[in-house]
Amino acid sequence: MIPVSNGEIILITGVNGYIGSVLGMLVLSKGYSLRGTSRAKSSTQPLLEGPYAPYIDRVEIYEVPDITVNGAFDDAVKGEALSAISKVHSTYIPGVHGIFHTVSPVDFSLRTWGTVVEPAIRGNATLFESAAAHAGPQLQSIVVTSSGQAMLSPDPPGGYVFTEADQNTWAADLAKTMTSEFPEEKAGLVMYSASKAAADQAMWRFREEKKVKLFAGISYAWRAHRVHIHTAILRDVEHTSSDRYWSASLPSS
Amino acid sequence: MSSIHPAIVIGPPVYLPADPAKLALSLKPIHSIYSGQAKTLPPLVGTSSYVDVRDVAQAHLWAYEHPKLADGERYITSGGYGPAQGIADILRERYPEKQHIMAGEPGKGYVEGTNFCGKKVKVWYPKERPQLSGKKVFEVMGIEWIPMVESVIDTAEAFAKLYHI
Repeated sequence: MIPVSNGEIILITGVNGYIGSVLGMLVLSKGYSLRGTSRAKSSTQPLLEGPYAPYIDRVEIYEVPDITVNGAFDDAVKGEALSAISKVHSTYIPGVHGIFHTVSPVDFSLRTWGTVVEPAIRGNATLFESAAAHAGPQLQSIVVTSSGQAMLSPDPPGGYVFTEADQNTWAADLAKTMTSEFPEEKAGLVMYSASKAAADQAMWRFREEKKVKLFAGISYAWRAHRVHIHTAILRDVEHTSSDRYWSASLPSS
Repeated sequence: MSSIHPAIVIGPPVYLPADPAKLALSLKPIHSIYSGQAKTLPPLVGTSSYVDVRDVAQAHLWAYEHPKLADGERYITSGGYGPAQGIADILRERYPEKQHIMAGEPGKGYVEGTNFCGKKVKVWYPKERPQLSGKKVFEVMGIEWIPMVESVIDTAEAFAKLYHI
């Protein structure tokens, strides 16, 4: 049996990815509706026909072929585009309430700043720009999947414990100046590390510059209206076949 | 806005690609050791810390559901030390009948220890190894990191079901 809808919509970029798909399963099991993006719609078929099948009425997929182009996520964050739900209920449905940005360009065969690091930074920037311009006041937070790499540095003192206070600055410096003489087998990892660190740092700069933190403040005013939205998209259809997926993939909580 | 910083992510996927070659990179060591393809152990990368994908998902959701507390925060999701030798040892102990799982040098390169939640675990960082701390998320979000043993076995079980290994 699927849970009663809580009336909130979560956007997960890269929903067909390893983390994205598990995250999608978690939010669905908690009563959220899910909007997912993927590079090609077809690659989400195994999910929609498999673990997400019991929730199919609460799942929408948006194709975003290139996450680095301007406006890449405009449609995915918007309220107006919610046709699958709004054609059943004529009530206006807002845009997404939360965003989990799990997707990032990863290609270990690429070796230059321009082909690895820039797209990673762009992939964050396009999402933030789309959200700031089009998501609406109900959006309460954006959670970005970065990497532990954003904290690490090579050759730390023995037994050093990396924490959230640490910053990886070495990889970007190295990646910018890397020549063709750099050992091939290490270059991919350096580029990966640099892309994660640079995208993370760019994210926090963006937050400062655009005061994105306002999202969290505005959202409380919206909560007063939530009950109407909740009624509008409430769908307590009973399903039973998903239990084995839950028990296989989610801790009880 | 918040950011989540996972260690090497393992744990059962909700679905798997039909072709194991398309597995997420972070799952490949467990797949290759469990399936017997691995003849040598992959080298240590970074701090060689692991985290279970289910815990990573929980951390994202917590950050969303606590926007006032989480806004402006970075969160490391790391369950502790997860070296390849530990993976091989866990799998060989759990599946003694699977002779193809490589032995390596059993027990080498890790120690028993106390994890970020204060629990005893079989695989932990030796004194000289750098750590990636999962302490903040445990303390703030209350996520009790799924131990490596459980994470590795649940992953192997997921492979077994789909790939008939």
